[in-house]
Amino acid sequence: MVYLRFVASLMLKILMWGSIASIAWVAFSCEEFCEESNRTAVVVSFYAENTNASLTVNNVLITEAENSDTLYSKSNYSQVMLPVNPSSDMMSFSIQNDTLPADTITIRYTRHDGFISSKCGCVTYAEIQGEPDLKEHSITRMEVVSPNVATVSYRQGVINAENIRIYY
Amino acid sequence: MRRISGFIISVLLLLPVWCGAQDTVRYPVNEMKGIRIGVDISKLLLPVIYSGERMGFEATADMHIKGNLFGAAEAGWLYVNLDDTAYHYRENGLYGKIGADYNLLKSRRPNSNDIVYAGVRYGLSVFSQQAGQVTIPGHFWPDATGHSIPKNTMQAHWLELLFGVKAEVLKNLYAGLTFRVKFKIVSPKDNYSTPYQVPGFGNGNSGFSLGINYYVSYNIRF
Repeated sequence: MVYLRFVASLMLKILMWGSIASIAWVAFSCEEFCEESNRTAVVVSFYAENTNASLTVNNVLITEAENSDTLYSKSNYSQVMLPVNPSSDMMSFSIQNDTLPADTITIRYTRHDGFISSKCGCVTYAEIQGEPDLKEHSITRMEVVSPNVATVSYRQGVINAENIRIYY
Repeated sequence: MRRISGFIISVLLLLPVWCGAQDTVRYPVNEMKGIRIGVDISKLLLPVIYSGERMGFEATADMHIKGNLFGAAEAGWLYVNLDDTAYHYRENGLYGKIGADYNLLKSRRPNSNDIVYAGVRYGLSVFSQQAGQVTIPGHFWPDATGHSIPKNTMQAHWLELLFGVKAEVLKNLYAGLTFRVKFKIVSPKDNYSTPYQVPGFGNGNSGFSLGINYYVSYNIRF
């Protein structure tokens, strides 16, 4: 009987300390910020038409086609990210390569909302439909490599899987 | 000559058994009769530990099969409710586990039904998730408000390794602590949403989980 009482009291103590420890654990060690990526964007890579090689474009200027909000302002990129508009099934951008005339592209897609995690919340995934519209001035052609638009990383040096190729 | 040497060899072979028998008195192996039914009372702490985000219940049953082997099963449900400015996320599901426990406690006291055991379980959960009042940040675009993620149902399967103790604290009443290591076999499938929790398992996006249960059970004899 002494043995049983000892075991029972030991387990009650374990439960009590275990509960205190787990409350403390949950309270203090939960991640404060969203660790995973919670941005979805169409990944566009630039290529040279004559060599089919990856191209670093100088002074890239990308603005929203209608109201001219600036997305990329005059820096050098070989890959850019166009964020998915979660309220619409299409989006248009004006893209300018250095001093060449600007082009307007329109991308159409279907959307699916998804839950990532409790800290990151929800995002809108997209699937590109058809070929993007292009008002040609400088871009020779566009190619949809992968229609699945997923979350992207904006970290330095990370190359995201490309959705669209733009040839100059 | 041969009969004498045979006799001496038999005595020598039996010596360890003979000495062993003198060392400890062996009582009959645990013969818990009937079925033992219990409840995981640590689940009552879920709303406290997780600030009202989770609520659950788990029942357990086990039965002596033969020797040191017990057949065991658990069943339960989990309800998750996350209230955030950007979403109201809900999950609801049931889970069940079935397996066996092996009693490791060798030295016995008379009429002792306490066990220290190792066990295995196969676990399965069927559950649903959904979210309402979802705000999707637009980043470059305006935020999208009033979205919702429709309810969809999925399953998960996993294996568990357990280690635990069950002590008879009053006649037929047992209390016990169990530690579990869980490995996912089949992940819940949804193309777009990762479940926050898998009922009975743990985190929705990991393949490995740990758990502790505190069971209080009663042995119904028949």
